[in-house]
Amino acid sequence: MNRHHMLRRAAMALFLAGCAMGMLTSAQAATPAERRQEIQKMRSTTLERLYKVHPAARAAIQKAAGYAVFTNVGINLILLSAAGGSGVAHDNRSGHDTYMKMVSGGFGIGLGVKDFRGVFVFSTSDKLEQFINSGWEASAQVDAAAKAGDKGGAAAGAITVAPGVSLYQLTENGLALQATIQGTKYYKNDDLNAK
Amino acid sequence: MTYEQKPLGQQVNELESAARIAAGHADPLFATELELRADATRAKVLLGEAQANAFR
Repeated sequence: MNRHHMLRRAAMALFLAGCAMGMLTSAQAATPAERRQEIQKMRSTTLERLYKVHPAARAAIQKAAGYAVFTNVGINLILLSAAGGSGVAHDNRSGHDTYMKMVSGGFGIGLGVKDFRGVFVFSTSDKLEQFINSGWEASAQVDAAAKAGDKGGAAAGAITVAPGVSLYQLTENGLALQATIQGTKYYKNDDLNAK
Repeated sequence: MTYEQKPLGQQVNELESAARIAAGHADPLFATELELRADATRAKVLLGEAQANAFR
């Protein structure tokens, strides 16, 4: 390897390190209010996209006890963990938002999927509370059985991931037919809910 | 890039990071599961290095 080539590689490494430091600094500098705003923006964008590819989802979400929107991409200010993502759960009755984080062992949301965007819909308040408060996880069995397309009506397109819990998982081409949330857990984001 | 396409070293870092978050939420079972996955992935890294050295 000649000297010129080595210098170019070193310069590129320095540039990439600088970019990474810049991203890290902006993530650390983001205030809770800015991070909440970023998640709210993500929620709006994800719901708009869902309603576009599957208009019946709007009615299903409106009549539910609540819903939660998650993604592992596109939230520049958060950088929570490369192995996870962020989201927000919304109680339709009280109007209350609970900010949450998504933690994956990689084999769930990452299973052949580059970007995860999902909207969970909860049929009852109990299911919503359980999701928010108990470190909810879709079991392997549920995942294996969770397939869409057999329900018809407003719920068509959603995947049943647990009793009373459905998931619209968006892909680049529309809705996923099978959930990839196995081995992924959801916790309250205390930093964003407390301040 | 999907999870499977990421370098093994990055997978280890992500699993360790996820394990720390789970532990921070008083979820030792999930944290342990993630740590074990990180260990298994780390073993793959070492195996790859050993194989590369053997053929050198």
